[in-house]
Amino acid sequence: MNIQLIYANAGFFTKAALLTLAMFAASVALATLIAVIFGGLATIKNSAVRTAFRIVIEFLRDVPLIVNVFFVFFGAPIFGLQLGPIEATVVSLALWGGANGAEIVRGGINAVSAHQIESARALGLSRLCVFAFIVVPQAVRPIIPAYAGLCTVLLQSTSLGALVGAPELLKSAQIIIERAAYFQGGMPGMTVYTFILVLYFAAGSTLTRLTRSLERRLNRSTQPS
Amino acid sequence: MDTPVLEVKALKKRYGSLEVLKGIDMSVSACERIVVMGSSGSGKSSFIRCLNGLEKTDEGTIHFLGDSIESLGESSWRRVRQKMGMVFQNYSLFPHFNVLKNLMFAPIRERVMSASEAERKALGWLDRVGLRDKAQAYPAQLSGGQQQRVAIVRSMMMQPDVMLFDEPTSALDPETVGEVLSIIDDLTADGLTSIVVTHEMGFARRCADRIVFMDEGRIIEDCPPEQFFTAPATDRARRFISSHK
Repeated sequence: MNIQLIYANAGFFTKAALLTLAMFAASVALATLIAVIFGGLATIKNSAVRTAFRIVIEFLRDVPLIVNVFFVFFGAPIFGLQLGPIEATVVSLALWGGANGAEIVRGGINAVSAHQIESARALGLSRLCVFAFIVVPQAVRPIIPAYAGLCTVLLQSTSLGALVGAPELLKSAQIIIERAAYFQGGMPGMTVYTFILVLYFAAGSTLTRLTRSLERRLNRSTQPS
Repeated sequence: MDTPVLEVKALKKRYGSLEVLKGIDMSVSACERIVVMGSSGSGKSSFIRCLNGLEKTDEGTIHFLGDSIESLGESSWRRVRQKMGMVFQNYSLFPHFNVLKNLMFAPIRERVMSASEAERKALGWLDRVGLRDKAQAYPAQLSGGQQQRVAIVRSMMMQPDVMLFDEPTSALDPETVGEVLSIIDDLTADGLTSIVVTHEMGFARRCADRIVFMDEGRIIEDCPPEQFFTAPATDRARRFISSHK
């Protein structure tokens, strides 16, 4: 193992790790927005609207994520958009994550008892208000485990950005390996890949721990003591 | 003669090919206390759910305080529902709000009153139903009877003109039925117009001004409780009464 190689490139790795985190945060934020809107609309009574949204969701879910990334990166100009590799990766992760998240959100919303919606409507509250303040908060708790799983996949999938050239963690690792192999020789791959494996693992397990503590907090606030 | 609070004419309601309400006529005056009875499937729940628009009607008219309401859009129904409280069998308190927030949420949201007024009123109501010490509790920490009492005052917070009760005690333990009924009695004795769907004979006899008895989607008796319980006009009512003794 050539630990010196990691130290020497600490700044480069830090920048790449921060970019990975930023891409992850942006994908989750956008995916959540899409998931709530699409998931919510997929539960409404109007069957034409519902079917339309179900088709979009189904389409995005069925396409492999990497194909989606390439399609957005190379296909964006067709729609008059110039997306760089970072933006293209974030957009495709958001679309894919949003579609999968929409299915999870839909399940959570359907799990909220119809009596809750009815009693809220009987108080004269608007449908939007009932959705935002009565349904969504109750749908959140049961979907946390599945949604956290989706976030973990999104975190890992930021590495697909490497294939279109986004300088995130995996791409940066490849750059360093190539550079080190060229200038210093040897087999830097093992060291560098082990290092980023540890980083991905640390980020993923932190996410899992945060989820657990969030679940515990939500349980504490509404369960009988 | 004052305008009736509610006036229902020839109301019909179908689920597909099944006609559950086959022409209901009924008028409710201010401060009247009406108990609706009937065996399950008689259409009594569908009927009161039509009154506040939770079910769409197919034919007939409903006038509320003189205004026709049967074909309103959702946003106008909201105004009606704010004046027409409804309590359900299953309490349906909002589990993620504490008791105080359950009471204050709708009146503040719909600008019926300010936050400080809502809090003052909510605590007053909780006092009245003996749950002042539960203001900060969550619904899951309350018994069924306590939850139903909170659900009743949650509706009362909107200062309704009419209260609808859809089998308010059917999901409760026999011991807690009494506490909920006495609160309904207490509230409606104040001159609050009410329609209560219930199987509680004692309550109906003691508290109702009129008993409306439904069978197969029609009202077949509509008379004062004394007459209903001692000399029902129909065989169907007689059998119903004896089977619930």
